[in-house]
Amino acid sequence: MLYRKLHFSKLVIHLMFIAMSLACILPLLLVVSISFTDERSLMLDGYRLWPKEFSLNAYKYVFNGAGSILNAYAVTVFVTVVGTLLHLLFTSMLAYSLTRPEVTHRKALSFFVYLPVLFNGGLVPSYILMTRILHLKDTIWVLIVVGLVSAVNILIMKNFFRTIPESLIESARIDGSGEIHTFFRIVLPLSKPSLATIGLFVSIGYWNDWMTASLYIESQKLRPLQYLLQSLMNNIGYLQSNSQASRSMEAAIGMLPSEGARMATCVLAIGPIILLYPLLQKYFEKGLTIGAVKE
Amino acid sequence: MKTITNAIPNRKVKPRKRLRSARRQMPFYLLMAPGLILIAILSYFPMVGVIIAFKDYNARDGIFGSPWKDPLFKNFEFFFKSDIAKSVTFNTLFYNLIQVVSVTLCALALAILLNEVKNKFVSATYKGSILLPTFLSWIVIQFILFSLLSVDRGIVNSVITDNGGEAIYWYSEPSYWRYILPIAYLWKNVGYFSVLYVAAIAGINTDYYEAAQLDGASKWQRVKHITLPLLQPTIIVLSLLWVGKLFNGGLGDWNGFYTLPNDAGALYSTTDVIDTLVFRSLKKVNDYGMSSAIGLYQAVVGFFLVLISNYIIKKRDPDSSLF
Amino acid sequence: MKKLSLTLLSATMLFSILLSGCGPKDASSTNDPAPTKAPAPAPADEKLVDLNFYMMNSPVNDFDRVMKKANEIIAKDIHAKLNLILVDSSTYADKMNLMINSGDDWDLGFTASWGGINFLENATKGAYADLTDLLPKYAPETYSRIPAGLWDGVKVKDRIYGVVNYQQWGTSKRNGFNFRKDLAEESGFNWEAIKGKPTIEALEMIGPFLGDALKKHPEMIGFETSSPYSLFANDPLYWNMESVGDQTLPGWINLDNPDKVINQYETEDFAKFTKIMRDWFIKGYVRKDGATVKDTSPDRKAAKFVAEKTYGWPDSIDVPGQNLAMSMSSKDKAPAVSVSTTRTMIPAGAGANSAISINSESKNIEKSLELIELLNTNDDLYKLITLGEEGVDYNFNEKGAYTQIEGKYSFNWNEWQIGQSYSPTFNRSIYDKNKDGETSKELQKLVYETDKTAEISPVTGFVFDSTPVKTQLANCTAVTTEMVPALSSGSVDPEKVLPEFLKRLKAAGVDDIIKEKQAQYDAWRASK
Repeated sequence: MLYRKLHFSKLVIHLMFIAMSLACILPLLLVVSISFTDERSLMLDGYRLWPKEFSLNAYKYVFNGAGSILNAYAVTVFVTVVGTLLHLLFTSMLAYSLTRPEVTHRKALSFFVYLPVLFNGGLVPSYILMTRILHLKDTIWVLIVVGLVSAVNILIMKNFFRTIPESLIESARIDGSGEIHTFFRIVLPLSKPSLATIGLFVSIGYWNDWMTASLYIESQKLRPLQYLLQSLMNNIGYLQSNSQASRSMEAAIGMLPSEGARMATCVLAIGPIILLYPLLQKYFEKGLTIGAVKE
Repeated sequence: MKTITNAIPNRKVKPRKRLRSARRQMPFYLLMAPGLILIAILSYFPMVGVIIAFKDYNARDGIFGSPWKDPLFKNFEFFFKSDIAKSVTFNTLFYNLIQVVSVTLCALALAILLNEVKNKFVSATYKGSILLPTFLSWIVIQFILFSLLSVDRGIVNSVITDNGGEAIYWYSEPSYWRYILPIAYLWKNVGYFSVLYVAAIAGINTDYYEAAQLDGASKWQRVKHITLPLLQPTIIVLSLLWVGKLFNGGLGDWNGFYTLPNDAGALYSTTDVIDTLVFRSLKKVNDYGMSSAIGLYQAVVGFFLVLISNYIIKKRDPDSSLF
Repeated sequence: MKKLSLTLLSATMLFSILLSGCGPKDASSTNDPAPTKAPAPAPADEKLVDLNFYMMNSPVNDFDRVMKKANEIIAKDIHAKLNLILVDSSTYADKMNLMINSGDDWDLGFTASWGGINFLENATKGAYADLTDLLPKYAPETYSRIPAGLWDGVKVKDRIYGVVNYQQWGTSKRNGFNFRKDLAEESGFNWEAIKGKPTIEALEMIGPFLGDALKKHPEMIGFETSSPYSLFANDPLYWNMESVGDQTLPGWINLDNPDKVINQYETEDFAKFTKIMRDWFIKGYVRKDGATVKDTSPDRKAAKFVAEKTYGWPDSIDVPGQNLAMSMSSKDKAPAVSVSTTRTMIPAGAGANSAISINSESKNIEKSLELIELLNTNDDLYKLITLGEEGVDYNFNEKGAYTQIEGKYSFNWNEWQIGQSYSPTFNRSIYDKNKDGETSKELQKLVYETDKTAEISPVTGFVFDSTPVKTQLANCTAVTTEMVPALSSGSVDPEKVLPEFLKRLKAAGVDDIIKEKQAQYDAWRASK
């Protein structure tokens, strides 16, 4: 009886998760399907989960088209990898210290960290800072620097660090390990799941960031993937609402890629980052293996 | 620097002890330095810009040189004079509260249930799938939504009409969006937060569970007495972060409200939040003073909400408070 | 303390070394834009003046190859180096305004009075250089060859702040309608009769034709409606009106009574227009989601429309036998006939429709003007940048039609932003080497002739200073963006919604705007 009840509840849980997973996967499949659908069929038959008339034209267009996709990949991958690593390093160092009772001003410092979440001076001062003071305009570093610290991640990570048993740190101290050494050798390795979690979100942030590029990047070579995608998706609306201004504008709109090409760019833009989760999977699962450590 | 200012109120502490405390703190300040310096440069330096809210800004005179507005609060006026200020404020709060509650509850439930799925591959597949929408930007979600709900080419309508029903004009009827928008936000965000909670659960010492199991606690009891209390600090921090953004559309991520309904005027009654109203009101006027004014207003309200909640939490559980 | 600051210092140094030291090759080589792309280290090169020119454009293939060629010409002629910066069109306005407002470096930029680029406002603020005296000196040909009236359109308080990009299609405007030729013949629709009719009357005549055509072709759409574009709010000329200041904001004048600023939404025409659209909506002539649909290019490309608005003229009556097509469609898929209905006028915004401005803070204002003059007078240079190289980037097919080569350099038809495509010798644009090409030359001759004598809008040269009514403008914008698309697409009942709309505009302070506009307008006219 008990066995069957357990089994039943498990079944329900699995069914629920399967339904949810489908709800998350199917819309993406729709995007993939549209990218492989012949443009005419898209007009006549509407959107479908399975292309009625299969076509590779959209991908041909994207790979032949202007704004080299491969170069954009290189920029995005570099920014994401370097940005995420630096972000994790700075965030964990700061967050860990904010949990240490030795730091007498940790509450005030937490406040210092939190305040910018609410108050910001808007675009103009940030733009002046980036361009005229730091001189980062049109460099790849601007794409990294802008996302280098996030108060939200610091505060979340602070919570993760608090679950690390004090006894571990204490015993390291007795063994003569310096605080910085303890942090890098003991605390960080124990925090892999939380680092992986925050790291995943930070890399999504870097991967998807197009605002920074649209403000600061000018050379075609430095354009990241998402910026290309955003251009494709937004230009049509803008040109169309101003089409009365110039007759050439209609020609310009006509030059813009079809829906299929836009979806193909979508697929190319989100494809690789989706693989990140399986890659990081092993760090999520390991968890804190501190069961062995006696408190 | 910090250590010196620190020394003044603690005058009674013996010098040697003070020195020792300074020496003990030093390594931590070293660890914090890069982060704090970056925050100071990237966040605090531009913060001087809040005074633009009270200025008649022009580039020639710069942020400090531009003349003050007369009257000082003139830049705030347009929002409070707008005939829909009340309804957009209502929408903002309405959607934010729904989002806070729905995302928190669903993410918690999913995280706890995911913890019960013992097969690693299966659990990873579930996690990976519900995390997918987090990877998408709003503009991609907008396109997905459009391909589902488009009147003539959308999948939903073609299913309805194939079954003899009447096509639904999703993009013309405001009342549908009261459901579509919260679902979209839930869909996009729930994976993120459940993975966050899963990580927090992973941080819980397994000894607790083993001990509870030995005591014969049921699964539900273990969740109730171990998992939830130990997750509480994480829940509190996230909620506090949200409280500060209650007056910001989409808890700060308002682009969905602008993008998903195609910025359609006919839907504004249910899709307009403070940020979208400000965005489109000022598009033509192009006035940095007016937009920073509303940003400042939202921040000040959020600031007081956070201060109050933080104070309450500090009284009950000092460790969980933000500051 | 010392130790702390020392370590801090070394940490930041380490960090900065980290920042500058590593990185993939492709990224680090493009790190600083100045010294790249100039491999020839000739001593003369060092003295070249760098000119940053911002414009809207999608990404362009083989951009470096063409720009290098172009810069050879530019270096030889005016000893400068053009650094053309292509900004995505959807972010261009925001980016330029941000650059202007934070005092960033730029020399030249495309500017216009539409789409949030705010030519007049920025000129008033002093962001653009005053070119009144410099233009005839440094860009004499640019200045003298276009109709003098156009310069009034880029003036603020009688000073010139932009260089007009006079286009091959002229500037005098005349609106009308396109119809599907095959369907009009099938239904026996007498489209010629619409010539010169007021828009309300024209729409009333078009209605029955749409009904008939749609009965025979139910998969088509009668007339285009979309949320960003309203036939009323976005096109005053159709209604014999002209906007005083920004187009979609309240405050227009009637061209037959140019003294009085009116609220265009209170006019009888708007009421009638909304009624007709409502009627068409109920009868199914327009999209049911016209109030909210943003992108109609799929419909256009699929040749779905029976009729559409057009700015194209001379129409099929002025010059019969033109091979026309519906917008974004091909001539064989959707052949069209066009008929123009409105008067011919150079609108007030014409000058600032497409212009180039120079940063008032630029160190190279004169050089920038020389560059503009060069772009406008050196036809080979202009064609090189806007079309690429013949044989490499484009050629002519066996029928003599201009054909772009796929995957090669393409300026995405944005030539109108960087110079005057007008040329009396037809030397600055590409024409098909066949009868179609000859016809377009014919048409253009007609257009140029008209431009010289066309009526100039009475508002030309007037600049509205919005400062006193900014609050009201912001609130009226909120109301119009919400309600105009619904009213213009027929998706709401005007009997009920129009009065409500007008009431909300009143509450938002529309009368203050009209009053302010009238006062400034009167003062300006008195001073003339």
